Amino acid sequence: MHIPDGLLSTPVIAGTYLITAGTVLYASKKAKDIPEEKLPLLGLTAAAIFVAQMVNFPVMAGVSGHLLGAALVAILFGPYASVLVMTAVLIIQTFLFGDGGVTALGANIFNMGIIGAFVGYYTYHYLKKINTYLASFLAGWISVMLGALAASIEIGISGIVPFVPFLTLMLTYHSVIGVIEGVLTMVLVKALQGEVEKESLSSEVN
Amino acid sequence: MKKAYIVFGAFILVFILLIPFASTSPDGLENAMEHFSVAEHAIYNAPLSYGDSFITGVIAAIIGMALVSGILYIYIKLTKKVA
Repeated sequence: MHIPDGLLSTPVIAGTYLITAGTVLYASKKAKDIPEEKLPLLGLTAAAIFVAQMVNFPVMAGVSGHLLGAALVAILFGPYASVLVMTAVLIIQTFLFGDGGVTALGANIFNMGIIGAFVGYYTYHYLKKINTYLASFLAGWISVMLGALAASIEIGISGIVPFVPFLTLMLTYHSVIGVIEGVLTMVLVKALQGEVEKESLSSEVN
Repeated sequence: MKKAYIVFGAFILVFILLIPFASTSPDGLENAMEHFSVAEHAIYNAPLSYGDSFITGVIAAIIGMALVSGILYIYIKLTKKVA
């Protein structure tokens, strides 16, 4: 879901860079709340998200997808830590590997990092009382769907594609990609649930 | 917290082993772009790629993982110091 260069209009580039810069700065301010002893694990998690995003899996004929991971990191470490993890991953992907456009970096961090982190965190937070499996699955699935929605809106209002047909196609593909994100989020959150509760990995939003 | 290290360590190992089996089909956005005949106009040439074999893919993964976790760790350490 990495938007390349050449798709976004100047106002969309400027707007997404501004929103992303503000959010990343605020997340940086909140980073002081991340306990020192969790930093190595956060680094390992960021490495895991990077390698997971390298592996595309087939979702339907001629279409592939990859894990985003923002919801997973947000559930385990809190949304601000997730924003910083996703920002680090996307900056390295863009500038070192050419995955995603330089002009679209603000949009890509917003779509995959910021939306994924906050939507994933709050979806899990509010639904976990009902069922933790459902909560973690939906956190992953909705984060992908809303990321795809945001990307479609940004590309749509840039005026290079017919908005509704493009949005429909994007949401169709990502509804399937999101299922894999949801399942992986569910499996990992479940595997680490005892740890989350015992060690309080997730820093609360203040 | 030890279990979390083991789980994410295993997660990394599994995904590294999956690198040669990664789909080469376009992802959801790339496919939608192709459908509407929209092409990217790159303005920047990245120095590295994800590689086209298992070995080059693993090297790319190791470089990327080291940089991502290193930059994140140093950045948070610095922001904590400033705060």
